[in-house]
Amino acid sequence: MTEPRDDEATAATDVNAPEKGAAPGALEATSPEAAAAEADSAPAATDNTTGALSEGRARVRALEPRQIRARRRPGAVLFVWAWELLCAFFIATPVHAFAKAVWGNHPDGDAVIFRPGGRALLTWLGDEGPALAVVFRTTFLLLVLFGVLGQIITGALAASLATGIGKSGRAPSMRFALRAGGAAFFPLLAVCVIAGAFQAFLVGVGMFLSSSVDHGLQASSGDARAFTMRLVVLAPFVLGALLVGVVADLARVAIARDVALADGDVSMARRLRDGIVAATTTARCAIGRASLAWGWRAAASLALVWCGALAGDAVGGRGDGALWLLFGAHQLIVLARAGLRASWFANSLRLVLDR
Amino acid sequence: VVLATDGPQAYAGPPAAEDVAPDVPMAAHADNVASYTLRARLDPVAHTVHGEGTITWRNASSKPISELWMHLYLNAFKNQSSVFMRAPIGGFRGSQIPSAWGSIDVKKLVLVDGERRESLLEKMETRRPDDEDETDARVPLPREVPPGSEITLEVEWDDKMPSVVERTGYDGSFHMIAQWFPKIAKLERDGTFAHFPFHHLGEFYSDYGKYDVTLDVPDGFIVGATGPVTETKNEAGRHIERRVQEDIHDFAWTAWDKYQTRKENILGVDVTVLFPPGYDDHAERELETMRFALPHYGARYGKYPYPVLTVVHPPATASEAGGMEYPTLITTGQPSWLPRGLYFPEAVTIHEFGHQYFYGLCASNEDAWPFLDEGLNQYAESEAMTAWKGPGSGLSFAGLRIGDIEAQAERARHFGHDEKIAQGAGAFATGTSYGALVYSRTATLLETLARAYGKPKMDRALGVYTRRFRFQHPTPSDLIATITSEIGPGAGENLRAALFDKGWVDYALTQISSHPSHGAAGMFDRGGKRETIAPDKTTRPNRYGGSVLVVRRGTLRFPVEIELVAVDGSRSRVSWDGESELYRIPYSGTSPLRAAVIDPDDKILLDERPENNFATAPGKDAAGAPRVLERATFWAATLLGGLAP
Repeated sequence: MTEPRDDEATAATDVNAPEKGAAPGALEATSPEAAAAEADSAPAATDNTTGALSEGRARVRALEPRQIRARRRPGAVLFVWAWELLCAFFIATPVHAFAKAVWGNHPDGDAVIFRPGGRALLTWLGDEGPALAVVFRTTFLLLVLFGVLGQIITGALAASLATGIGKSGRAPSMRFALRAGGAAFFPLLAVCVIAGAFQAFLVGVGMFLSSSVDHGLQASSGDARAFTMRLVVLAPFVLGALLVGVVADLARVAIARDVALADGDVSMARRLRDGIVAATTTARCAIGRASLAWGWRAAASLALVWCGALAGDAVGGRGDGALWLLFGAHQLIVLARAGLRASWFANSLRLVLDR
Repeated sequence: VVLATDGPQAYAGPPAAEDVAPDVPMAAHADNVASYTLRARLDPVAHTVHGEGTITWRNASSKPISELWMHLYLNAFKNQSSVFMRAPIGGFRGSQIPSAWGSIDVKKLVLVDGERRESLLEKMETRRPDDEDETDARVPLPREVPPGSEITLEVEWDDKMPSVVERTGYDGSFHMIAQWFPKIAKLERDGTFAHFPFHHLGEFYSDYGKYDVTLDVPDGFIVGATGPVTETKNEAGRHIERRVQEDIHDFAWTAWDKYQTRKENILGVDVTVLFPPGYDDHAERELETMRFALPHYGARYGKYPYPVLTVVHPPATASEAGGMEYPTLITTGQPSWLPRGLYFPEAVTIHEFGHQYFYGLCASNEDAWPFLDEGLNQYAESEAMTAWKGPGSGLSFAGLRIGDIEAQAERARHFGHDEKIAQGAGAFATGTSYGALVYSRTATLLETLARAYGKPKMDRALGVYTRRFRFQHPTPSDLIATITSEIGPGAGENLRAALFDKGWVDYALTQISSHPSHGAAGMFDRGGKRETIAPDKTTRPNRYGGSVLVVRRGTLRFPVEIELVAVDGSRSRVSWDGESELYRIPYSGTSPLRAAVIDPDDKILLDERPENNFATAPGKDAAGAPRVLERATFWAATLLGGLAP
């Protein structure tokens, strides 16, 4: 996300609401050539909206599907990583403060927590005072808080991916993307809540059914085989919940793009409805492609997390250089996962536009 | 009739572990006092067992005996008026009400004296006044039994098995049959019977004897039981097998038509694993455990003396039958999906096998002194798991390595002031405190002794104890005397105080100072002249001083080390015998004192608050918690981003 140069401020045209009769949420993309031509003929875009977002809209345009690539938005990926690092630091603060208060004055510091056998770790976690409960609750609340605020970053990332400036489709400004993310906050949060509830419902039903099957089969098949059947029964529900997550991501990017490019006073409910319609329409056409695109990135992301865990295990209680190396490796993993997320969002945007 | 010869696969075992007490003789056999020749027939549909047979009992005390006490422990599950059911105990196994009640009804009890037969049934008292418990029966005898004399009883009874509850019962066609026959209480040397009702937290105590038991089950049922099979036959749709074993003090068996079987001969012992379908990996893990445990325990506590060992893994729906010990038969547990690295199946198996020593061969009174079997055995389990699996002997999974004994220490830490360890099972207020004190705190205490005074000494002490009291009924005094003689009076006193007086200890570093080294300032009369030295003239270049104040709180006294850490990273250690309540350690060195820590090697596992064992000198840089910050930041970012894109 780089700030546009002044000479490019009017080089793009505005792509606003879909044409009359277009499917809800189906935003029309203007080709770069047409945009450039239009830019040449129009000294300044007509701005019928208010505030900085509308100012930004005057300069940005919708990118064509082929232009929507995560690799074209390294700044956005870096911004997501920086945001996550900052949030993670805040979230980690209570537990760090607790560890420092208990073990910080040990000659080896918190290295004792990492000693094989885990005596110090167990002593720490077995603390009977109120500190542990306060730390856990504060950490949880911070996680939820930053998770909610993260909807803005999600929207900003999608907006940055979906829009561009000038013929080349250069990245819009960080301010524009963030304002788009902010404007999309409530619909994105609603998607998060609705999808989460639906996922929880699916998994809950799956757990209930699989548990019933397990209990029903224990007497005849033995508990080990009954447990296997439990997993078999549960699997489609978990898969269904994952697919709901994929569709929710399609809705997220559709909403964020819509908010970033559309003008006029459109209600949040309308944006939400349009986004869900766009996502479900896309899913009907391309759920296989979407699942595959999400699946390999999810697998890669989990593999990265696993590598991070292994690296942490390898370093153990060592400090100084080894700890800095671990920090670097861990942050590279966080960055790579942010890149994978951007890549998935870009793919989602293409699928939404191609439907 | 054929001899059972399944030809198990032979396993030579790992290289022989070194015997820790080769000079201590062991008894080859027990003094068989109460012997049982029984026949039992299982109806797996009605869940009943019909039993009959004879009991031969000898008065091994020094006094004539005019009554017998018999345990009818299956009546613990007869109704909610039993001692077992009415005990307000939570936090331990067997707390649920069985869905089907269990009972034992004695139908015949006849004293056989040559041709003369006298029924004792009519005078048998199964209840006390105002008490409906029927687990502890008094049987008046028509005449006294002189010391050394033997009597024979003919007995017949019917068992109604409960739905599986605390070690016994059925689940479908699975049957775990324990505490199932009328059993004579242990007669002490002074002529008193150690009899007691079946308590929720209590276990057992019996005389040794020879058990000759014939089991009769429907065809298709696989039987696991105490002792080796000496005869088997199949007739009239029934499978009948006879088991004979001397030098034991109980007999338990199991029958199920779904058992899978693994057999292996490990160091001359025929080990059979009975397990549910789908538990092949667990069966292999349990065999792996026995391949380690048999030589390891043999070297420490004396060679396992029986020719067989049966390991029973009950189905998950009958988990209450798991985690229990009987002579030559143990039950394990844990669900089928448990991954390797979570060493719970191994720990349970090795724990129950350990009871072959701490219960089976050293047959202490489990009701009066539960720490003598469960506590010592918990220590033995932790010791063995550490020897086998290393520092992550409790679990080694996803980068986390938690030691078995460290987990016990943490569990024990919070209960040291509540109740004493050395008390009867029925005296504990809750199952949680019983578990934490009897199992965990005893194990932590013994581990602390081992670390503070030397593990070879502890190995030998317990080796001497188990050899000296093999086929005996040792008491706490025997244990303390052995520890005192083998390790020293300090260890013996710490053991006694911790067991009987709720002994505890907390070492704390309460003060630390660090400063440039100074000589004395002031006025000095030297060589006939008065010399005044100003404070700023007393500094010694490149020398630093300081001190550390260590206090010992509590009643236990263990020797500890204190490590002093200088700013330049150099470390030095000071030993303290821990006898006094305070110890001030002066520091002098070429680098300023930065920090100090008591017990840097975590030897005193009983220390109640390890987090007050260290301090950083004022003005010096504390090491802090950068590792936690790094890890927490990474995992918070991971959670924040979602595990998937």
